Amino acid sequence: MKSFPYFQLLTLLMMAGSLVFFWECVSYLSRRDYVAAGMLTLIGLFTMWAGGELARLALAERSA
Amino acid sequence: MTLWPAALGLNLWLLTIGVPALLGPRPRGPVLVLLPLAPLLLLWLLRPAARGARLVLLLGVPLATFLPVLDGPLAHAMLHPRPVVALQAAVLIGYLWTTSRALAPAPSTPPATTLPDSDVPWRWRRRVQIYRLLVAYSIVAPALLLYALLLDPETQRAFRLSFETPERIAGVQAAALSALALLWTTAFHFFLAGPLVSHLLHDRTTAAQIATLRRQARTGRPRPQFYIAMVLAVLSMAMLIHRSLFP
Repeated sequence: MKSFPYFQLLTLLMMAGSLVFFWECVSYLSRRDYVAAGMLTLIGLFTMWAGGELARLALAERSA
Repeated sequence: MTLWPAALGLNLWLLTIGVPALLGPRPRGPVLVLLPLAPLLLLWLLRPAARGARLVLLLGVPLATFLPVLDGPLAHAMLHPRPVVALQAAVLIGYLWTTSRALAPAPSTPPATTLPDSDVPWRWRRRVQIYRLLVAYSIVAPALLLYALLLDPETQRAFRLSFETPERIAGVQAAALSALALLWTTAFHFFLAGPLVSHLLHDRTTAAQIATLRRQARTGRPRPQFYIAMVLAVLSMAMLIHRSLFP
């Protein structure tokens, strides 16, 4: 029986989450709050990094 | 065949330095030392398989040709009219093209025979299509960036508004063009040529990475980098919340 693809789902969630952070970053930029926009960019990048790590696991799990 | 690279290299040197040095003011100091460097570096064409020949011919010759006219008496705009600059660009492209061909190692396998289209497997045709697309992309993408930087009316208007004199605009455009060339070369080397070379070597590095990845996946736990990224993300969120609560 094929196991539930937790890592794939989590990867998708993390990537979508990082996009939300980037979207928020743009809205802060339009309000000229550059510090908050910078912090949101960092959060988006870190979330994407974590998503990338999970994607590696999902890929390995899939090809195993 | 080293005749074409030698001829084009010498022509490039003549157009860029030779004629301006004859017609313009006499160069002095370091420029005088640099003047005969490019023709001397072209001697590497006699030994294309020698160590460092690629670096010398593809980078050293153009640098030694253009460095003396960057600044000083030979850099005067009168000595480099627009038609000559266009010709220089064409000769430079020709030189780089023919030199690359001369430096490429001779194929060790016998020449391939062309199969009729019906006999070519679909995956091979798809691969050839990808290579053609990459060639097209390598031409179209830099051309688009060049257009955006040098010809796009909106960009030109923005340049005119931001920088007052034509000299400053030209300087900024030249700097941006260099940055663009550097960016594109880096992207091409790492993201286009890199994967293709890796594929030609049967993706050994990728296969080794996947094997390591599988070993890690058996543990069912992510690498430490995952935890570092999560901690950094949570810390950044905490800082953002703190900043919102106590502005």
